[in-house]
Order: sequence, then structure tokens, then C-alpha cells
Amino acid sequence: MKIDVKSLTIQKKNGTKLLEDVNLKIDDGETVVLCGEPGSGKTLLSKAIKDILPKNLEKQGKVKIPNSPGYLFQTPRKQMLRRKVIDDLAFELENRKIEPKKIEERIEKYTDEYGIKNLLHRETEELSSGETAMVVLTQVLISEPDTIILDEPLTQLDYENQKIMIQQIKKLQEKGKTLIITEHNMEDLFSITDRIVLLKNGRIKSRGTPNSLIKELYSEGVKLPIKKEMEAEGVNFEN
Amino acid sequence: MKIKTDKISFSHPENERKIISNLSLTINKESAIAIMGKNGSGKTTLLKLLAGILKPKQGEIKFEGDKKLIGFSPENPKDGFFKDTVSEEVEFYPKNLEKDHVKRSESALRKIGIEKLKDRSPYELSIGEMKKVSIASIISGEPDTICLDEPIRSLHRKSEQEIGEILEDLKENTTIVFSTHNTDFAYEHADRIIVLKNGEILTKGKPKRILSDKKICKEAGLKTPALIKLSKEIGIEAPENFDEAVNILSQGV
Repeated sequence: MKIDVKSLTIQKKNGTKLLEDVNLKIDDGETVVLCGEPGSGKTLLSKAIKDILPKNLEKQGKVKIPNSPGYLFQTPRKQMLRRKVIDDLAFELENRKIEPKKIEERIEKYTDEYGIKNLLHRETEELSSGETAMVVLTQVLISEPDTIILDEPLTQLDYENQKIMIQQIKKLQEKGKTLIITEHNMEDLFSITDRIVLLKNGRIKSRGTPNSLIKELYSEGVKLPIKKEMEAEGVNFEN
Repeated sequence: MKIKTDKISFSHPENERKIISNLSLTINKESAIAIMGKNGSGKTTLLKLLAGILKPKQGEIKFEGDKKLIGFSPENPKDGFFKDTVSEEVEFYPKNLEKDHVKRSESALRKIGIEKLKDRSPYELSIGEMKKVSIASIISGEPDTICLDEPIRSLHRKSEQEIGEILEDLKENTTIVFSTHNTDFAYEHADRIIVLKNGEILTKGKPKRILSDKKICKEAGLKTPALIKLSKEIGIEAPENFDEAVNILSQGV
């Protein structure tokens, strides 16, 4: 068991509970979607796993995770810290005191793999949202984390870039990475998810494989592939 | 009111690149128009130009008819909030117009179905609720045209449906221009789709025609709506909406 969240409760200073008694184990190489409507606590749970909770919140319980995971924020633009793409990609590696030669090599390798070599000398502010998402994803992956948390990775993207992002997610799965994705819309992720954890009002309501949760997800207002939604409405596609 | 844009262009002062380029279109009264296209194709800029928030660098926008009020709801509703409570937020527009703000605000809150939120802070609501407040705060001014930037982005299915129902209601006496990436939503709720590419109109027309056209969808980065895809798969005429599809399929094809 790689990631272990035990009796996690997160509350505001005034006692309002945002997450309550959350217990969750995630295996190596698993793709888990934290699903639920806005405000259900899914992003908060992902931030607790990364250990980047806002300071005004109180935490009880424990999160065990061997190494700090990579984290792709919902608004990738906020994750860009430097003016030029190349400097932005180097930031985390410099922080880890990796020698300049190796940083160069890694940037070369990753920008090649993620098809953003042509963006290296562009100003981060001038990138389109699709380009920004790819640069930030590369920025997250370049420090080679075993676990990657993606906070609503598809929301800000158009269809073409969504397809690219899903390809990247599949690639990470092939590499055996552990993926934790927060999402309220399961339309595109349904078939590539191992397990869904459904959150409601700060608690885990249910968990299981996507197919085992169809009816429940549908009645909770989670968007599913259209055939699955129709199945939930009683249409039988077998006949 | 009818809106006509005559060869309008727009670019930012420090940048030569035209975000909207030589664009002419007519928006008829009381219809719902979806503006679609890839990220960066000019959707938000076009909405802002129509709403008068930005001025075209070249060309002109003409409004035909007597009422010339246009409301704009930003993609991130927080960008438009500045009051402490929902009711103050919704009262602001009619107050500014020196109209009966209490009555109009109550009516807008009722229309959108958010009376119970009226004393809450708009900043503390869920994203779906915020989107509704944002719409209420523009319809309280009783504009004849509203421009909504990505009204359903970041929403889950239930809120998406609720916003869809709100648009259907408003359509009866308001012109709605909205941008969206969501082809399922545009298919169900738009009367016409305008597809942008690099600031120009790639094509425009009825949702069914535009969204069934694989070539257009590919060029504009649009996903084929699930209903169209499914109907092709099982060989039936594409139904207008999800409920109709469920009805057809439950009875057997």
C-alpha cells in the first residue's frame, strides 16, 4: 500500500468540517479518480495528500506517502513562476540542487517527449491555454515523481487538448505511475480509471470500479459516457 | 434588437496579432447563439466586443431596434462580483439604470431559482450557484441581449442541466449569445452555432448540420455530440435531446 490516508478530518478554524473521517488507500500504479460535485472536498483531499493545505485550516488524522507527489493545478497558469518556459521548467530541478548539465539534459528529454521544444524560449504569459497545460504538465513530470495528482486536468482545455491530455494520462499509466485525478465529469475518464472514490459533503460516499458505480454516479449528477447514462436510465444496449 | 458586426477586427495594444479579424455577422432577436472553436480562437473577445466591453479596432457594431441593453457574464463569475450579498449583487444593475431595483432583483432571483441564496456572500457559493448569481445579476437589468462566457464550464451534470433550463426560459424574450466547448450543450440549447477559427468565422449554421460534419468538427477542435455519435452507431435519426433519445431507445429501435 503506497498511499494511506487515515481518519483525515479537515476543518475551518470555526469548526466547519470540510473533510470528515476520510480513509483511503491507494496502490502503486493505480489510477484513482476523486469524484464529486464542486465543494465535495475532492480538491481539498488531493491537496492534503500533497501536503499543501491552506494555512487557515486545521488537520486531524494522517496521510502517509513515500515521496512528495507531482501536482498539476486546476489553473495551470498559476503554476508558472518564471518568464521564460525554459527557466520555468528548470525551477524545480534547481531547487533540488541538480547540476546544470543534468538539468539541461532533462529539459531536452522531456520537452522532446511532450512535444514542446518549440516553446522553450517563449514567454510563459504568451502561451495559449493548451500550450500552458502542456508546459505545466512537463514541469510537473520533469522531477520524475512516482505519484502525480491532476486537479481537474481537462476542465480548462478544448477538445483537441483534452485528447492530448488523455493520451498523456495513458502514457503515465503505461509507465506505472500512480495517478490521483480530481474530476466531476467522468465522461472521458470512465474507461481509463481503475477506481472511483465518490465524495459528498466532505465524506467518502462510496468507492469501486467505474462500472460498479454507474447508477450512483448518475444519480449524484456525475456526467458519464452517454451509453452509461442511458444504462442508468434503464436502456439496455445488449439487445 | 438585432446586432450586426461589420468587418470588425480587434488586437491588443502591445500585440500585432489580430484576435478578431474582419468579422461580419448578424445576430437576430430572441435566439440562442453558441460561439464555438478552439482555445484562443477569439470566442471571449467576440463576446466582449458584442457586449461593448471592448471596442473594435476596425469596423463597427450596429444595433437595430429601440432597446440597446446588453449584459455580460464572465467565465469566472467571481470576476464580476463586488458586493457582499447576492441580493446587492443582483440589485446593482437595475439600481444603476434607476429602475425599481427591489422588484427587478426579486424577479431575477425567482426566475433563476436562487431566492434562498439572497443573503449569502456570492464568494462563498459553489461554482454552479455563482454562475446562476452571475446570470441573475445581468438579467435584473432586463437587457434584451445577454452574452455568457462559458456558462457551464466547471459544472457537473446537474448544474449543467439547470443552466440549460434557465437558458431555455430566457430564450423566449432575450437574445442569448454564449461561448462553450461543450458540443452536447450547444446541440441541445443553441438555435445557431458560429464557429471561430483564428478570429474569423469558419462556418455557421444549425447545430445538427455543424456538429454532424466531421470535417468541421475536426478543423474547429469540436467533439461530435454524444447523441449524434450514438444515433449514427445504431442507425437512427439524431434525437433533439437526451430524454427523447432515452424514450426512443427504451421502446426499442
